[in-house]
Amino acid sequence: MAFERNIGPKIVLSITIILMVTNYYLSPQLFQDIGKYIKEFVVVIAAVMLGLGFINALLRDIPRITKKEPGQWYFSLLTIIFIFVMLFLCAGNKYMPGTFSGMYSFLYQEVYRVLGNAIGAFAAFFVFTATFRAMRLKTLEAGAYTISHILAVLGNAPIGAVIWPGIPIIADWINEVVVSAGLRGFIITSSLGGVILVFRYVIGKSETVLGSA
Amino acid sequence: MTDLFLGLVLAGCTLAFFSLLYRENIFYRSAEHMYIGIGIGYILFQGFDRVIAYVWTPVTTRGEWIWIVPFILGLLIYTRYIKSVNWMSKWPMALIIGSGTGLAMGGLVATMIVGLIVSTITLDFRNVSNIVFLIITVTGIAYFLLTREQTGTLGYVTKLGRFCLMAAFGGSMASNVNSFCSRLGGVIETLVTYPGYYMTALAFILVLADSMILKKK
Amino acid sequence: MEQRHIIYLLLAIMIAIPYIQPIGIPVETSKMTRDFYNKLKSLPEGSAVVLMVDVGLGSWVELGPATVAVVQHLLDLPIKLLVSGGSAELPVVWEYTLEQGNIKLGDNKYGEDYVVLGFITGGEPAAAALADNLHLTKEDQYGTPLEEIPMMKDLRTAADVKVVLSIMAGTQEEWYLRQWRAPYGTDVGIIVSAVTTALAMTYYVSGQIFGMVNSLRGGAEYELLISKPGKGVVGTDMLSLSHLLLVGLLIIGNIQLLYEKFSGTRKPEEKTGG
Repeated sequence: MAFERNIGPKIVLSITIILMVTNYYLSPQLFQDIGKYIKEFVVVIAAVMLGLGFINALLRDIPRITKKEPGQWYFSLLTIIFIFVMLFLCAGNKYMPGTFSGMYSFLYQEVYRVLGNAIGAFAAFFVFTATFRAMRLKTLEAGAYTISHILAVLGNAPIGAVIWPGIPIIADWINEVVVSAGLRGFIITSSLGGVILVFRYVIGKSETVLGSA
Repeated sequence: MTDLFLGLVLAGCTLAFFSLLYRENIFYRSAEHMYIGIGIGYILFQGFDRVIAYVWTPVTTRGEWIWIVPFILGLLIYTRYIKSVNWMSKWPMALIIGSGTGLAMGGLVATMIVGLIVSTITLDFRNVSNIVFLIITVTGIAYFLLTREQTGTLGYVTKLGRFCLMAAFGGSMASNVNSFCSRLGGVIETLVTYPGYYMTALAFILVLADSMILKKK
Repeated sequence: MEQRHIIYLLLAIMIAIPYIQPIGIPVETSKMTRDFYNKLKSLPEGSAVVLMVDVGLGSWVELGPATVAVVQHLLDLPIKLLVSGGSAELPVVWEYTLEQGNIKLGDNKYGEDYVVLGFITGGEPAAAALADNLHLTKEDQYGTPLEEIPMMKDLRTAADVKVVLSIMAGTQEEWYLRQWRAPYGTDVGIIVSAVTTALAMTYYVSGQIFGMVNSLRGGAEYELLISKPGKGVVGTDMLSLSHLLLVGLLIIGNIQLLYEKFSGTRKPEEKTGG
């Protein structure tokens, strides 16, 4: 039982990593064909996996509805209703576009888009309050952070050039030299760490990535 | 009339979400759950559509039976919800993680390690900016070297690295602010132009009324 | 009313002002946007360009103007455009782009000048699979077998593609650098959300990415480059005022710190965040 639950998947993980690396670097047709099939298999598996969110939603929301969880069950019902409405409209838009394309466009292109944009916009409010409360020139590092932040912020907006023509030049320098170099070091070291991590996966020390039995 | 209705609905949806900035309420919760429901329904249909394109059509029209294999592997992922057989989901997950990791590893060394190191050391060091670039990169890398205690000369180097990294993060945070403000701008535009401003005015009245009632309580 | 509510209100007002009364602060084009534009403009006639849509409509307010401008430019050029992507919202984003941008397809014929391949699931392996086999999806977005589409006859792998562009809000540029540029030599350009600009900048400075259209400001710059100003240009005024407010808050916060330090009335550390 241990083989099917733990050792087998780890072997598959190791072999797949090795096969994909050889597919990347070696040209013999055998490696290319194996790599091609693995990649295309993953595309199909990922397509089948798109239903996971639906199952999660059902498992979470249906018990709440059936048990009439106070303060929550009607919202869960709302979620389930909209799942099926959207599913119906998507199918209608594909197979009977003349009848359903208007409603589909309204719900997805307009309502869902606006809600998605609103979620993305939330962070702006919190960033501004956090900036006011937390960004203080208490240490040298905080000073470096704050000063480069101010100059880059002004350089990112057209107003910087209006305040002083030198601001966009300094901001570009900060982005191209300071930010780029700092994150370059970060990328190189995290990539080296990634190589070590993959090596651990290949030799079977992948306890967390596949989960426990 | 349709434009008016659409504009009011869209402004109403936006304000429902933004009402969380005032306090948690039924409008926000409804908008949140509506968003989740629409998103899940859409993705579910797209998954169904892709499976038809990748599996059903090749099998039924071209006899390519091999695509049944990844279809079954994909179905095995759903066994994660059944405790007695959830180990079956590890097999396709191993394939997915292995392929993604292996592919990333293939290109990672060339692009993210060798490529970046070569482009750093081949800079023209007659330019002062490039010298600064090299110093920031090297000290930044040194900061993340944790296999040795960061004392002595290494300590000074890592202190400089930390200083440079903080300056870099300050600059990169400016980009984040740019993104958030861009998103907020497009959203606020809906609320201050016709017909959204009617809903905005209504929202302000509701907030004022609610805060007065809460104050009385 | 709490202090944070005042900041929220101030921010909303500063952002709303330019939409009520446009200011018209001039926008300078940046080097990375010009590099992006010039690269596309210099492509030989008949070159294949792959446009990967890796975002959904939730990023429209930020990336919409850039997407519309770049798509309009691509359709004006004598190139062959293939549209695909990892986002399940690709079909909606494509249709919305054409509709919102009022993009005239002009002489472009579907199947000869452009084709929508449909979205591909699976992240980096999917990007790699598409690089190995441009006929991965077997049929286009509308159900036509790719073998029946004229422009797809000579396009088999990423080696046949001159440029791959990605509209992205994550770190997808690394996928295309690893799976398209490194093995096949395809040039990579990105239309990127400002959240990941800093990381992507590393690759631009090292020459691995030929150009970047950065967020709303980049969209405005691109609109000016193709001489079709739109929502991007209008939005840059909003960026100016909101950024000024941020700098103002920073300065006020630090003046407050200095005052508390010198007057000895320092308060205990408050919690941060919204």
